[in-house]
Amino acid sequence: MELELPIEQWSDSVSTVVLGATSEDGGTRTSTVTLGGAATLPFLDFEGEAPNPPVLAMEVLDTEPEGWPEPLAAPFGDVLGDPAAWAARCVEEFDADLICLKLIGADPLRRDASPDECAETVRKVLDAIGVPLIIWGCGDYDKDNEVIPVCSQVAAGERCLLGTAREDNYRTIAASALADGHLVIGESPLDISIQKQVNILLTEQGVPGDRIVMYQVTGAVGYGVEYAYSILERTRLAALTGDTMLGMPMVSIVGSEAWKAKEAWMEEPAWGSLERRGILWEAATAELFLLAGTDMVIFWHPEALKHTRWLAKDLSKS
Amino acid sequence: MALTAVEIYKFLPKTNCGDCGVATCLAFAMKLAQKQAALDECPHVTEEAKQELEGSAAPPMATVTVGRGERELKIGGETVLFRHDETFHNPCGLAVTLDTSLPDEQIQQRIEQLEAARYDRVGFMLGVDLIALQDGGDGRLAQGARLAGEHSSLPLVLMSTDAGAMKAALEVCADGRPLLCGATTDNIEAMLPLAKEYNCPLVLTADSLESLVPLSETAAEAGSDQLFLDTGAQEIGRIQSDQTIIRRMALNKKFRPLGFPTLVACSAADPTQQMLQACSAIAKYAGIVVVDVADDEYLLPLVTARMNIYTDPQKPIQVEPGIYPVGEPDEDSPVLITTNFSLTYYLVEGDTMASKVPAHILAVDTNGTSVMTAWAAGDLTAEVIAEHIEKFDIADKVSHKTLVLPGGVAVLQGKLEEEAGWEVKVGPRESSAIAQFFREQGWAAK
Amino acid sequence: MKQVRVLFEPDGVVVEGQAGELLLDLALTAGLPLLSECGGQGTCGSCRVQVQSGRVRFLNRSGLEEQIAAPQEVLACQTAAAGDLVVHVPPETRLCPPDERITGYMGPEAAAFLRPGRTGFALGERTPVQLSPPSFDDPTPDWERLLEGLRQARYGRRNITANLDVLREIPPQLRALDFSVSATLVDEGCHHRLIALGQPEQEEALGLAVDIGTSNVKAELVQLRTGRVLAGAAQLNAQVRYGEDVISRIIWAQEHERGADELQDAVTSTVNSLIEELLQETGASQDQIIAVSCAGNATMISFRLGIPADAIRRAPHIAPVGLPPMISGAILGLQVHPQAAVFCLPAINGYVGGDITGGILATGLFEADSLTLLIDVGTNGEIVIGSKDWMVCCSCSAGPAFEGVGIECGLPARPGAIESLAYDPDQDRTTVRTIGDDPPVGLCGNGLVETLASLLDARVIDRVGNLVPDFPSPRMREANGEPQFVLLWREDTATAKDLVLRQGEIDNLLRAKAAVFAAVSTLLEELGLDIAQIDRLYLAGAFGSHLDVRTAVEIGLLPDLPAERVTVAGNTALVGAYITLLSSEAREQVSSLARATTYVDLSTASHFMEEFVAAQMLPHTDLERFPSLVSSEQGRAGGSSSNT
Ligand code: SF4
Ligand code: FES
Repeated sequence: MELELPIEQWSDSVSTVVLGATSEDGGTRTSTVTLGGAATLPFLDFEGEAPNPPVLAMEVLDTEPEGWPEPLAAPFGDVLGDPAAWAARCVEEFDADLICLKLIGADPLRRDASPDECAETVRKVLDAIGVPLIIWGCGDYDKDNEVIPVCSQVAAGERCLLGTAREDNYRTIAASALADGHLVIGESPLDISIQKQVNILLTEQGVPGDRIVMYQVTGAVGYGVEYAYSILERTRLAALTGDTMLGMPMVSIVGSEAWKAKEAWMEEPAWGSLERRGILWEAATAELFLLAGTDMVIFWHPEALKHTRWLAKDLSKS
Repeated sequence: MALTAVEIYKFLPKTNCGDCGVATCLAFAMKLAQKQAALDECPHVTEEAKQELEGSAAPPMATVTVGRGERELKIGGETVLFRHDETFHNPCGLAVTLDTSLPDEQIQQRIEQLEAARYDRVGFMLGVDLIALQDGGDGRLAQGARLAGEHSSLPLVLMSTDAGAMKAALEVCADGRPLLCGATTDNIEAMLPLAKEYNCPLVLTADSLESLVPLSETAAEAGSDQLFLDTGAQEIGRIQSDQTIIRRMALNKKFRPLGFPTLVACSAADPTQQMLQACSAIAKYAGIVVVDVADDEYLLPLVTARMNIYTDPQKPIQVEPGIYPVGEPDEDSPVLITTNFSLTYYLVEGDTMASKVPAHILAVDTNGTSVMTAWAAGDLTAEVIAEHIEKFDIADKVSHKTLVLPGGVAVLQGKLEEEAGWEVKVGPRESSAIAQFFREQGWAAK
Repeated sequence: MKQVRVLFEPDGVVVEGQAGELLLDLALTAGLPLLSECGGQGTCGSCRVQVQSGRVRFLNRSGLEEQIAAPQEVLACQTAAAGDLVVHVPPETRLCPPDERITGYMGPEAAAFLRPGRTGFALGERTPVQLSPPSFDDPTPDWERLLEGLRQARYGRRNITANLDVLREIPPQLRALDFSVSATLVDEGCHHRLIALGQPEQEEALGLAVDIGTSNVKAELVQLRTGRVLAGAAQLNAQVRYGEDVISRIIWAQEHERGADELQDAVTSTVNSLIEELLQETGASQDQIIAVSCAGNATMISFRLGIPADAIRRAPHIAPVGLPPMISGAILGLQVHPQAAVFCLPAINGYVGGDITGGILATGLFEADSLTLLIDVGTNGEIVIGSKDWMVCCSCSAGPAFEGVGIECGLPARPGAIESLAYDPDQDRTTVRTIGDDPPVGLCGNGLVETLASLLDARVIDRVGNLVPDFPSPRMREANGEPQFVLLWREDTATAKDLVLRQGEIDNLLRAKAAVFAAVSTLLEELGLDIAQIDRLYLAGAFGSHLDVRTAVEIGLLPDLPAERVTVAGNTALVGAYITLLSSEAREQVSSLARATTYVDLSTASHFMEEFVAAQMLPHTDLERFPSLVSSEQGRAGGSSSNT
């Protein structure tokens, strides 16, 4: 019997954002990445188009991570102290679509790395990879305001994604992005209104909608997913129902969030294999966010990425 | 469409007599609109009003009970597509398979393993909800049911398409109201009477959505309404589409044949892939998820994700009040005061962790409200904090007598020093400034 | 019957009525109650108005109709409309002189309580009684004789009681005054109480209408016989130094020994100093004030009465007393007649008090035919939605920013307060208008609203209220690590100090307007209503009637309703106190409407916080909720919603 499928008529779609510029577009990337564009809720082929599959990125730190649990550190061998080599391995061996470079070393509470030092790291990483790059600040407003413009300049023309712009510091980042041909991540603390406010502020600052990616501080399974899942889902629904100020693609961080959970790293025989737990936690977190509507996921563990790649393929079968 | 409070009000007597327990008819109408009251609580509604208000209230999706007694599960009865609209009500049941063709002692081992798979999460026990007995076609399903009944009180799913094996097993375990899994186009004529005779819920299994509908119609003709639907989907994309279509048909189109909870049996060979299959089904609408994997590292994320999905996103969640260590605090480490609203607590915990200064956090019971809300409501007072300090023996955990108070409630400082007899330092207003605060106060990172 | 339209000047209010209706009644319908000392007998001359043009009929000239050509003075109680009219009401004829800084809007439904013959009893009255002296034939005792006289004169079958000290005065007084006396009675609800006996031509009995706000206390001195407002005054509530909002004061009272007493003393001294000011201005004496009607939130009334208010703070936020029993002035330490009656307007709940029931009464919301919204912006924001069928209310903590508390340059509305401000970025110049055209001292609520709108328009602040650091003007500067903007340089102010608005203050203003807007949205959502269904909106509280409604919509303080549906109503709490001072029917009405109003606790309404965050933008995160602004906004923001 023929079922008349319950198809929703959405009035709008997620905007499409292209990361990375090849030589044709004045950059040096060898490939680009396209985010967004979906005209339906996630993975409902029967309803509408989702032209771009989920984008899977890996995170690289500018400072050798301390205290990473063995199962997390192992796949990287000796490159954790060398951001360029680390990034190259993520692309070449681990199949990352692009790299997210986090400049945590700039944090005054850590190394207080200078803007020039950060820019140098950015250059090295750019040189080491052909895929597009996300340049993510340390989270200290004032310091990011010094660091991001300098990093933005050395990467001028590469169409990188700069992060993150928040309500209180969006001006500097927006100005850098506009000046150097980059894109901006608008960040908000798990609140759909604040996210929209950031997007409005960025737009009024002159950043067009196809140069903004949204980032909600989400947490991981067991630590905030109960809120995050619905916030992401509502954001996607808003995009589909024509709210252009919430119509940008979304990015979610799962690596650092998942590995914060004690279930990922704590010795506890009742929880099963410590080898696998962190990977599974990261993969499950990524899956939930993808189902809720995120467009790009940033991983730590290569195996979590590998499983998510399988998932993305399996999700396209229906 | 549900009626609004103002629309409901029109049908009420408008006398504000208060017999319904609230002060005015409008207040009662608002409660009705939010489904927090039942119409019969007003003794004065007219028959007509009853008709108007209750006419179309039949639930679009059946609620089905599996198992009996303490561990029985109520599944289905959902009313929304998106949990932010109302919350999902009846958590999806997690079933793990047990192959009954195994020797008895291995069956027993597996049962014990599943019983032991229980995880404590801020005061809640999470674990496996059902054992799915898989018939190997060797006549041992009944034996499996017997062993399960002896060694476990978990409800059962009987997975067999052989009506004879099913009947034999039901002879053993029908009292526990197992879920029969299930009826297919080929055996439905035999399965339906069994489900009826033993009064057990039944899964209708087909290989596509379309072929499920006639099965469901057949069951309806036979008067069955304790049903589950299974489309046999394995690809995660198909799981998503099938589940979404069923839920939309049931709720938006009020299509009765699909107005039942679903069952998704995950069988990817790779355990991680199987976990991802199951997790996707939990997120999108499955009523019961069946998996083969039984190792803790796979079950733990599944039960946690399920808890998350079935938490009301509107309601603040709470952590157990108490004293929690962050890092490895010792007797010199600072003691921070915060409330037991989970987001507040996790923020303070996260920022303390990030500061690398080991510390003790005292989560004060404020019924899950944030610091400022609790203060305004009188739930976070010097007395309350002092009581918690006593109750959780903070004096035994540290050698100093200094507390750190959230900056927002600095006004409590004097009173708290008096009540608790501790020195009270005023910490930052925002938890993000905790690291800086520690540095200024000379608490070192470790 | 022929329809007529009457325009009342200088208020510019138009009412429709029927030919044959008295000007006195038409004025009431217009919400402009007139003096009518003889009760419309045509003998006192107090209801004099000027007919500018139109056709009238004179009752006292045997129904003569006349076309008025040149302005002509007439008695409103003796003149009926015979065609469309323009009528000028001189200030001395008004019951309530339009001192909008203190009082507020009175709807026709409320003014009707003041109609001669409908008021019932004023809270206090002085009635002349002429008694026949006793004789062997008429041996009625003095007290009963007086009672009989009072019943005949005015009180019918009402119970009348008296205190012993008054009883003791009766025999000598009656004889000293030859059985012709004036009796002073107060209405205590179930009975009247005789509180004094004196000469027939005693001074006028006066009443006091008081609005005890968390931040400001306002009072009017009223002639009880006529309803005439003699004077008004306002002062900062002396309790402010114990905390800016009710919660902090309740906590303060709890945590300090004698804390509650101190708070009670503080508000008593504020009211007393207002009384002093009013007596001085009018030359009246303390003993003349025989009745007091108080509107205030439940916390203020509790403090006023010295009743512990802790319960208000804790869910379910119960008011200690809804409608307090009548209390005498002396017990409360008020500088009024020692036996003066004190009436407090009833509270609905711990957070929605007599100021709001007063507002419901004053605006006439309780009798409205269509959906009406009352927003009272004080330190707490209170919202009422309803009509004659049902009423729902809620409250939110807005903070005292719009009342000028917690804002360094903030002021209550008084001479020298800036009520209008525009900053021109091209000239780098600010133009202001102050109350009374005095040199600028600070900004009142109106001024703050306009300042926000103007700074946004000039892009001095962005849409979340952040001062833009690189704004090209020396006015943008930083002090103590906090950005600030100089609105007026010191040479232009009365204080010889720069008038600045600091970042933190802007944040407070945004939070205040967001709380109010969110409370309205949440309450509408709980009811399943849409803002467009609201037929009339009254904005009461911190704003004067000069508030520009469009500007208030532009910053998102008010929902986007057409300006003609909005009435800036001022201090309706005081109007409520005034009406209840004069009318026992109004006192009954306000008690029953308080019982019929449903309170909704926003802390259990799941969407309030979300609404609150969304409203913390200028005007709002969802611009779609402000359709009337969208077109102008797009022009300004350069197509803010492009997506490609
Ligand atoms: S019992 Fe019925 S009539 Fe009485 S108040 Fe409640 S709803 Fe109204
Ligand atoms: S003359 Fe007395 S009221 Fe008109």
